[in-house]
Amino acid sequence: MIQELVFLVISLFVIAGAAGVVFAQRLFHAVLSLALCLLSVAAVYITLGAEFLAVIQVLVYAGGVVVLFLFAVMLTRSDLQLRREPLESFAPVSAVLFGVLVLFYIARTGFVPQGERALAPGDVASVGQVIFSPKAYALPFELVGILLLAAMVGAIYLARRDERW
Amino acid sequence: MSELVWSILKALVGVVAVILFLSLNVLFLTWMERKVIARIHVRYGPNRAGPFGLLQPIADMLKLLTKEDIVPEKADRIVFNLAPIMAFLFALLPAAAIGIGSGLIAADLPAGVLYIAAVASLSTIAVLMAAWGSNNKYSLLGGMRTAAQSLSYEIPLVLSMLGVVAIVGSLSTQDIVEAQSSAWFGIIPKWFIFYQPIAFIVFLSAVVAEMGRIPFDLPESESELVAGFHTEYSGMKFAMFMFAEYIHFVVGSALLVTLFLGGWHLPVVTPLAESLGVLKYVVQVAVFVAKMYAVIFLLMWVRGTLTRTKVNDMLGFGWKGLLPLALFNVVLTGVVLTLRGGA
Amino acid sequence: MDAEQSVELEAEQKLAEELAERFSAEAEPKRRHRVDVRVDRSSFYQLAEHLRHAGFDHLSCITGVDLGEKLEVVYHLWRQRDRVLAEVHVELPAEKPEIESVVSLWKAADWHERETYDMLGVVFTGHPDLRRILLPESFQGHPLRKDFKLEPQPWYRQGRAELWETEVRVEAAEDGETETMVLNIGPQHPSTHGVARLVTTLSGETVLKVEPVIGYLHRGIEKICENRTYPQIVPITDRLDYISAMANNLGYALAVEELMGIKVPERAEYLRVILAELQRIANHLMFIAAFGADLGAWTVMMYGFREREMVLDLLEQVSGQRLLYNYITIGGLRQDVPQGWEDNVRIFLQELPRRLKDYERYFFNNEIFLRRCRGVGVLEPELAIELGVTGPMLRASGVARDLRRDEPYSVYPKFDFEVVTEQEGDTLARFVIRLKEIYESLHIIEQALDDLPEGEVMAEKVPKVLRPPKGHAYSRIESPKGELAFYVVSDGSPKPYRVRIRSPAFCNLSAFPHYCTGEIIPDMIINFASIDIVMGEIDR
Repeated sequence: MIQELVFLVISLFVIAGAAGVVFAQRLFHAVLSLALCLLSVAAVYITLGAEFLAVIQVLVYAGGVVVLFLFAVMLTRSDLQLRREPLESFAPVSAVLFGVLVLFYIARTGFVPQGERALAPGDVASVGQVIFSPKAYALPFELVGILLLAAMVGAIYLARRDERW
Repeated sequence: MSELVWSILKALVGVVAVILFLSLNVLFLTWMERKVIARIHVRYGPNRAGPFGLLQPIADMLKLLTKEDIVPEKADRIVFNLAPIMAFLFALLPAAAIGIGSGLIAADLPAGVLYIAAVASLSTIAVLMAAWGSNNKYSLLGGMRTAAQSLSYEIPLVLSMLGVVAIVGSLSTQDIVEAQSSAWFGIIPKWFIFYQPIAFIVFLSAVVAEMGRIPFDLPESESELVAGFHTEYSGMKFAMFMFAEYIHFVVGSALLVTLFLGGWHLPVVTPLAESLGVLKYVVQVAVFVAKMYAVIFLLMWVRGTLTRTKVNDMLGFGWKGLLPLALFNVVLTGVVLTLRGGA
Repeated sequence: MDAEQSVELEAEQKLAEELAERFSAEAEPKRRHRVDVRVDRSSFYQLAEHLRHAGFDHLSCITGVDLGEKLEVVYHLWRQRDRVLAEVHVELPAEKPEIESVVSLWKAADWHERETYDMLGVVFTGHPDLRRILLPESFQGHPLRKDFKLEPQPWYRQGRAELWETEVRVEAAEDGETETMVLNIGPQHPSTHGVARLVTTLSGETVLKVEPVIGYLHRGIEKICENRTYPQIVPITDRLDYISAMANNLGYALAVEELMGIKVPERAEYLRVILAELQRIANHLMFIAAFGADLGAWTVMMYGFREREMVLDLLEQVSGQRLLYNYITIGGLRQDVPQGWEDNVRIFLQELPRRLKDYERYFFNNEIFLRRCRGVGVLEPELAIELGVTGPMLRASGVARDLRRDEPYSVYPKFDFEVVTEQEGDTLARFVIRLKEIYESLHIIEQALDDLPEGEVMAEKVPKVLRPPKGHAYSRIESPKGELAFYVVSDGSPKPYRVRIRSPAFCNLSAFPHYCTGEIIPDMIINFASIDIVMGEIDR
């Protein structure tokens, strides 16, 4: 009971944050709403016992990606007003479609909460074992690392200008 | 049901204790900083408000509370008003996972160190909010500098913690302190500063940069950008930023003590205190606080002595100096541990 | 002129004859180091060109004087190799006061011509950007004209603040990709030393262009001087460069003494030298303190002020004042120094070098400080001379010019001292040179104390009401900031007809935009700090 109440409260924050991103008048406010949304998702992860994922969510998404977005907004000094007209004509249609899809999937579960399923352990040691053991995900991990390195080098090259530093 | 109530109560007590501990330390610190810096400058420092000026922080607090709260006309009100609160909040968060005695911790997270790293990165958001919300070129420049500094030094900070974690085999701060409890010949403590000297230097430099203190005090280089990202703030909101800054100071020092200086363990003292029952906690806290203040004094001494680095020097030092050093340390630690039988 | 004098004035005589012959100008050597030249407006530019190519590379000052029906413009030009100052007078009709600008010959003329235009309405044709410099754009009238009515501006009563604005020319950058930002540093700012405003055009953190806007501390001192008697002006000169007030007093006193032909007694001369050098030490200590503060080294600031207190104590003992002394006056000193003062000075001479060792240890072992200052704001020597830079800033670029040796005044020829120079011309050099100059000043004071004669400190027969004979005098001294000069015109009455103050900080600051582009903001701030400006002197 308590579990569900906690989940309800947290998901309210998630939805509020997401709604803020879409409906905010100013770009900066939209990004801050995104931060709220992501932090709330981290809270959801904690309730599922995936503490590693929760911490990484905060570290990477809220601490990294959101800061990146904020920098982008501040450096380009984008317009303070978001133009919403083009979106509005699509909004009702896409809302209806999305609502239908969600209802479809919920109906498939028969409107019964799935309850406690056996989740893989989410603590750091277990996740670490899984990521680094050669039988499991070691190779994909290294490949992803190389991919990220390539992306970083590419970004630095593209952003570089002929300045001193 | 009572278990739930019990755990909620425990959590509440932890939160209140952390906030109390931090607030008391911060208040004392504002006095101490001014006195220490003053003595380095060959002058007295506050000595009028109360004996030795000890009531000075109270006086400052009263002054800031009664100041007019000015919000610039074109400022983004929501963001402007939220920023100091966020700054204060994010500064408090890491303190939850740092303990001042065995079991005297708000939340002994199994992933404590990782949690601290994660929430430490959040304070950048508050800075950017303040910079943007002020609608002021100086604040903007100052805020971006501050954010750049914080981001650059986060990575060496986290990497330098890895070596310690690898040796201990756990991310919990309590475990890390317990791992430093023994001593050679019963006198020389087995603190990680001796096992991980490189990591200690990297961590010390990075944490000074994260705190925004000289030599890395670009965020508030008064002589260049008036007051950086909190230029436009006055009264209580300004007080919140100052509070947040000092909380960073205390938390950073506490973290340093936890990771490298043995936390609340002192070779002869703590084993003796074990037999004192409840009093042993008092001893532990005393040891911890003493070490913390030694670090704090050192950092104040540095502030009174060194000058400010230039922006590009600061970034260069972080990326080209500390980062490779931290990486080297991680690799070295890994090699040594594997050779000795694995972590 | 007797034989001895005519030998001394050989160089001046030669110059006078040359100019008289080629440009049908009236030229005569007035005294050692001075040649007065009067030339027609039509031949002026050729004369100026000739002088420039003949080695007169330093434009000291441009002054405008309102003579009623005519406006006179006076140029002071200096040739280092034979130590001659040519004072060129040109008269212009008052209804149409136009003359060719000499900016193409001496870059230093830029700000001087703007000021003359601002104050007197002389139009310099060919000037790249002739607009007001000390007064706001919307100011009406030219204050130093004799017919200027001393009443509030029409818009003043209306209280319309926007009319006080100074027009600032800011061009958009050519690079259309990134937006450039215009940032006002000052006039209220912890770092600009006084109310200076730097309008900076930035691209990111890089400075593309800087324009100093001055005039926020303009008090109309030159106009005030026209309404005061000669002795009454002495305390006013204190308030020019208020950090080194003794130097201002001295410069002004020398000009009036030259006008009146007063010979100052020896004891007063020696004491003047001691006081001027003490003032130099105080000024440089203040510079070091402020420099440290700009770098974030608050400790150094405190130490610098502590040492400076020692000097201020000495100066308070003689004059009763810590900052604005009104002590060196026309004819000598106001009163003799108190008993025991010389011993106090000797104690100070022992004490200071020990304390300076601390400074040296602090600064020159500090990696961060050296990195910040080395190579920043390099000023080439040729550019420095062209821009009219003088004083420690010029000597830090390797140019060995010092008025105490080039055009000695008071009893400086009796002392043995070195003209300190540094070669790099960067911020660090400008810092080091001032530190070294303190040592030289200590040396001079020691020699002066050893030889200090007894006697009077005030010249005899200085009348209560000073009426200098008609004429003019230009006195130049080496103040702690550079060449400080006073041009005083007398019409025989107790009040001067014109007083023009050539301020070293004014000229040094005018050079600033020319060599600081391409730096980042922190570098520019340090660069600005290393000029050592005081707004009181710049704005007058």
